[in-house]
Amino acid sequence: MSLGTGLLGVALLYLVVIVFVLCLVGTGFLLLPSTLRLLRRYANFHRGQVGRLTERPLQTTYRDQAPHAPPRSRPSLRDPAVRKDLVWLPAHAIPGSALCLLTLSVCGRVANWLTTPLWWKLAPGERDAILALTVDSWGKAVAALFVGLVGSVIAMRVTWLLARAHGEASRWLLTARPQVRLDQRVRELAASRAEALDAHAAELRRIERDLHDGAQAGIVAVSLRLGMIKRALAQRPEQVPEMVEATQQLTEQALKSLRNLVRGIYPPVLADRGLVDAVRTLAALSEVPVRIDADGTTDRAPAAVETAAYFVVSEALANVAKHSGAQAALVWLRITEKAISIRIEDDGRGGASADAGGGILGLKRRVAAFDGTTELVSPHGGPTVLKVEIPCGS
Amino acid sequence: MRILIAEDNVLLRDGLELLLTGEGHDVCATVDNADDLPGALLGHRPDVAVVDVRLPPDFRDGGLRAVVEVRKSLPDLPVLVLSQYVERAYASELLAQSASGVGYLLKDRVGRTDEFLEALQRVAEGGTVMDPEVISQLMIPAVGDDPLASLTRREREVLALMAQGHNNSTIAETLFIVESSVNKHIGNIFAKLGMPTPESGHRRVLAVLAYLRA
Repeated sequence: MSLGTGLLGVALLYLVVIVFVLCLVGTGFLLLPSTLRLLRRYANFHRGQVGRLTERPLQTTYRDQAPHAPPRSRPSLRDPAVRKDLVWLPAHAIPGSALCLLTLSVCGRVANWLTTPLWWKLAPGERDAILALTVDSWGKAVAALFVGLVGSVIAMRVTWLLARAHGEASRWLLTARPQVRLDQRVRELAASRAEALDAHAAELRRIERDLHDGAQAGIVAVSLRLGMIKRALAQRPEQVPEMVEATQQLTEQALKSLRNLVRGIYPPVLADRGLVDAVRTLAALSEVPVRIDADGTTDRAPAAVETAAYFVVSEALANVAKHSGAQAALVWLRITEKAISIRIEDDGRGGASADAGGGILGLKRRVAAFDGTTELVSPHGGPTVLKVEIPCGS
Repeated sequence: MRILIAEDNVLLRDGLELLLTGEGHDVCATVDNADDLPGALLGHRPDVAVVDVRLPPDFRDGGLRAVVEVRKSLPDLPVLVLSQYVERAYASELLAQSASGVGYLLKDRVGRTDEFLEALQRVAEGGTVMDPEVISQLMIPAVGDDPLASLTRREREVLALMAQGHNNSTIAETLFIVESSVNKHIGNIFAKLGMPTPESGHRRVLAVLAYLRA
């Protein structure tokens, strides 16, 4: 197994070298991204192996796969993690393969010694050798068995130690340096901060616009009607009741628009009853039947985080009702000290995508602004699963 | 009067149309976006246009910019601009070319129906109407050698009313003083502001506008 992957490593090493040489004449650049992806799969496989062997999982984040990587990012040689893979490949492939060959030959030799008495009995004509002695008697054949036993214990121990050493060396080479991870973290936080500022500005614009077109315009319209009523009182009093009725309707419209705006800023039910009850209210209002799984979740998260989570559920359920054609949906919700985790599933036709813009993109931005993560799985034909995790506080 | 209304909010557009037709005016056209406004103004040549500053498609000051554009070729086209907010910059831009037949009012004023209709009439006749809010923004005592700072409280009140296009007798009525006192205040105002003694109502508005633009 190790030998197999070791030899695969040698083959990959040849490929990488060839591609780099081709880069010198230009054509290699076309093959570079796919070669680096192949290398990454190979390295990731070993990360899994090494993680299992040393019982500590390895973590490396490639720049193009980071949560805030721009869309359609490709592996780049500028990425420290990619560079480390390139150093690791020869270091792993050449000594690794040699080590495997050595281990195999030692195992073969030990097996040979262990079975020496058997060979002596079955084919006395064959003269085997243990260490410097030629086996030419039962005594030496039995001695070979003991040497074989001792040898196998030593070989097992040494193999295990070598595997550990190889594992540790690989761990060192396969993990991007903590400083690199810190760089990445800084970039992620800078990106999420920019998202937060954008989201905040967009929110302010929306509120200003809603107020301008809704309540403010409504009150001006009411005032205008009142002015007309005042004039009508003197000139055509018979029209007044009808005008008062129309004015009252305008007042109600303005109030409704204000109510909707307030609900859009910070839903009162969220303030009064908490996220779980607020989500239950959303579910009750949904056209598609929604089941809530919030087992024992009674904790409260910071208001801003709860609000973001509430709008995630609200937007997701609106999407389910609008686009999925689902018969049922499930909202799974957990609040811990660290994060709010949400999973929204439906049995609809799938095919939802954040690229198409609209709701999911907005939702993703909202979550990113809180340094949270969004994961959408929605194959054509369904089902759709949306997972969101928003960290609470710092 | 033939009146054109440019307002994107249905409630206000319908309300204004109802009010103006109820008063016997002819609403010759209604426009709900800034792109169609110049064409409509040039095509209909209304006696006066009521224009919302903020119109689609960009929801910024499209209405105002359309008006400024049209008044470059038709400086006498009377326009009463309505705005949800008082912006000194809007007022200055509007008055940059000509102050005749220009009005700038907060939307709130449409509720004071009598005054609104009167203001509309004044603009249609080539007068100038400025919202008291615009004037009071300008009257905020400034630091340094602002000549406005040297005016007494009463003189500022008189100037504010002048800037709204009121004549001396209306000013006297509004402030409950005799007309000769108004004349005296106006004389003081212009002396303090370094303006030549005005000969007509229109010129004194121009004097105020000079400060508006400052």
